[in-house]
Amino acid sequence: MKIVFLLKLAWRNNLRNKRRTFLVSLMVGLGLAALIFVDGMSIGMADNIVRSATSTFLGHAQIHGEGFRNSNDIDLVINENIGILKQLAGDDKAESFTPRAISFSMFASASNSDSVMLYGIDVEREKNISKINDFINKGEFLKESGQNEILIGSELAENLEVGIGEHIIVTVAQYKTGELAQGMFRVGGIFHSNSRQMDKNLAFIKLTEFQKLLAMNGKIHEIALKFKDFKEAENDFFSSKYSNKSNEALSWPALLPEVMAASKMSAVGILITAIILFMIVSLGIMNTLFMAIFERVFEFGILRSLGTRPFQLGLMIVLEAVMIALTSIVLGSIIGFAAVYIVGINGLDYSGIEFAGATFLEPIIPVSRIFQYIVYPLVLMIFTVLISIYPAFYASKITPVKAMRKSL
Amino acid sequence: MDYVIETESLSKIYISGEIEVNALKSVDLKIKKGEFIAIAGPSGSGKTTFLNLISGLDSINSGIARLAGKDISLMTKKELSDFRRDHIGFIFQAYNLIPVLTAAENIEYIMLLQNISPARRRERTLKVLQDVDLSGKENRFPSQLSGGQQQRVAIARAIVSNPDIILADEPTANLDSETGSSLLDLMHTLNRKRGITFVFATHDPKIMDKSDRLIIFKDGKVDSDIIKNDRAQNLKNESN
Ligand SMILES: Nc1ncnc2c1ncn2[C@@H]1O[C@H](COP(=O)(O)OP(=O)(O)O)[C@@H](O)[C@H]1O
Ligand SMILES: [Mg+2]
Repeated sequence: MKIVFLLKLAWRNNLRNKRRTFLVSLMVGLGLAALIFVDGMSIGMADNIVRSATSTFLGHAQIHGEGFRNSNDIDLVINENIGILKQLAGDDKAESFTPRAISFSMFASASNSDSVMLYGIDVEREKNISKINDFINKGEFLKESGQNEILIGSELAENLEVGIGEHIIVTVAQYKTGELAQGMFRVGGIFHSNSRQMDKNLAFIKLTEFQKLLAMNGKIHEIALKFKDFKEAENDFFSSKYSNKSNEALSWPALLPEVMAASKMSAVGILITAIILFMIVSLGIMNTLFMAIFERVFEFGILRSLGTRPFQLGLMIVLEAVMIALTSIVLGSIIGFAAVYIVGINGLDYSGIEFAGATFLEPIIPVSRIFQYIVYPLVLMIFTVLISIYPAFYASKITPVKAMRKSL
Repeated sequence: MDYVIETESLSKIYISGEIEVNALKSVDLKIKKGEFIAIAGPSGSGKTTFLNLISGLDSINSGIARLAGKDISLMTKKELSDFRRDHIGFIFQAYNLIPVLTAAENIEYIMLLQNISPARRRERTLKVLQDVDLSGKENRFPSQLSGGQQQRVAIARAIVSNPDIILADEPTANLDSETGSSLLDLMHTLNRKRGITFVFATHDPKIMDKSDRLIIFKDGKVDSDIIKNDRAQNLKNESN
């Protein structure tokens, strides 16, 4: 009852100086809008990083033989891979998957040699998981029908000084026995991604030829897969379902800890931004409240002499701040939403820039979420109320006599 | 006896920097219910200080002030606020009203603090506006009213919650003489018809004229205390 009246009073008091109230609300609102936008951008960026990192080559998740990831020991193959591949084919959460075999190898060309991570891949399935196919800039991707063809990165091609159609001698140590084996491959394609590491270190041949060269008939080291919903990677189901028979199944947060860390870092960034913004905003509100108080000292004297308790007078000031905050929240939410929407139409183009070991493939699209329109305004409101306590306390301490003497 | 106001050796010293001002020096006064009193005296003689002390707006240095039998120096700020709300009406020289509230809302304000129901507030507000001859002006803001009308709203606000006493500090000082007179008539009528106690601090000869009792302050002391008519004499006798 009383509060309704006090709210009305606070509202009208704010309207006394419409321009000042509007300007401070706009300022506070812009702070809120900035926060909403930065939050949206950082979620968009994290999504983008994950998407870029997983879609280039990694996939959303991978299965290996236990210990393989650390040692790259070619003997640590996936156990019972045929059963697992069958299981994956029947798993309705998995969209696509591909088997890979991996080994260190020495490459020698007519003019140079280099150490390379050699992949044996399933030519058709690989296209569904990685972007190597899209990155070909000379020659073409491996073909099922091709024989002894090899696909190498652009930088590796430069180091070895080879072009399309030229030959490379590949030396590997064979499965279990460790005996050296050599094969001659013809460069069928050269790929260029935005990742130097891939362009310099990776080469691909057909899985069957790989298995023959390493004498590891039917065995593989890695299965990379994509989920239908990429958020599945954040759940545990995959890891618990496929980590057995001394195989290790991990999804991207575990495979790419640096990407996870980067998105946590950006959360810290937002927190710091939020604190700075709220501090600026609070000073603005406090300043406005004090201006409004000093203008009305005489009136406070009257209110006090009529029997308004000091607390009630303070409450009135707090409510004036609450009104400013409400206006700011409305303005800020609209501006913030508009900014996210407008920038979201085309996104901000960071493609080609490397971040946390991954490269942005698409423009960053800021993401809206309910959180931004509930939690940030709520925090703003709480902040405002806290910040208004000081001016409110000040106003409540003004003695009626002083108030009325000073101003006459 | 039941005095509305009773002071004993009421004193107030203001210290501003090096200088001490004895604004009030040992004032003993007794005011009965229903009196219509003018406190006059030169500027700086302590009239406003006296009103401020007896209403608890300012702190007492020494002496006692009792309002409706209660020693106000024993009350907390909150109690004093509530006490003013329930027992005292104020009328000041000018700028009495809260500019963002309409005439009716200004009047309702105290009743709101007293938690009186909206319907009852409305009823009493309209009634009191009628008493001060401002029917139909309830939704005007102070800026839409003349100085005299604003003071009438202030009077309405002061009387609406039936206080024990109304303290009016130079209520006519900012008004032209004609408006001042009609305002004074209004307050006089309220005193006569409703028995509301009025204490004026004033320079206005018309108020001194119309008062039943004229107290002159000089240098913070009561210089003279004159009972001017039978009515006041009767009130005085009753209490003895
Ligand atoms: N808050 C104050 N601080 C310092 N001096 C004051 C204060 N209030 C009143 N005085 C002084 O006390 C004396 C009495 O003032 P006041 O009661 O306002 O007189 P009056 O109302 O009769 O004109 C004056 O000398 C005035 O300057
Ligand atoms: Mg005075």
